[in-house]
Amino acid sequence: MSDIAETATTDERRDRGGRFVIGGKPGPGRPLGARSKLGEAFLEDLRDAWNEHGIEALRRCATEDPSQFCRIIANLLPRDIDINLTGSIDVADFATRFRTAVELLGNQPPQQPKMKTIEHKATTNARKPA
Amino acid sequence: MPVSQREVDELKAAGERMSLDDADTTLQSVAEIIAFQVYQCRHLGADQAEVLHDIELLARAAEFNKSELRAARDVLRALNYRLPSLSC
Repeated sequence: MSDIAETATTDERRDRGGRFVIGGKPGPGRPLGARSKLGEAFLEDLRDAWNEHGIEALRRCATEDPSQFCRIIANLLPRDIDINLTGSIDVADFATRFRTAVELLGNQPPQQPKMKTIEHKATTNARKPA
Repeated sequence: MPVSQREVDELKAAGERMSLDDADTTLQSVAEIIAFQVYQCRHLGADQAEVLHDIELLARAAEFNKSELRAARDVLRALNYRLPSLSC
């Protein structure tokens, strides 16, 4: 009985080509937690099996098939190490902060000394212009 | 480790290979250039000896004159930079 009802419901949700129709009622979906429970059970079994046979499996692999053993170890190593450290340095930002610090300390870069002017007064001995 | 003439020549050659269009003119004074070099070295984790090595290499390759270096030294000292090799 329930199978018939399920089929009828499914038929209402699909068109002749089997595609979902717009505005159709959604299905009941997966029961809450069903997939995660399966995954958790698998991982528990895997852990138990590993605890029992893991070390022996590794030893046999290392002695009987060293190349496979090396491949396993190689797969555990990180594939890409990012050593690019220069990307975050911003020259303009640094220059702005440096100039601000110099100004705060009142240490402007030394300017070229100005030429001294010689002040003088005209004397009676000075030659008069012609 | 002292700066070798080979290192200076290599840096000079690298600078000469650069196009003028690629030149960054953000840093204007020698003090700013040296300070940025120090900042960059420290950012990369260089120790004090490596920083001083790079500053000396930069100063020799760029051929800063003594008055420029003295002015830079005064500014950097005021900002508490410890650069004993800048004794000109």
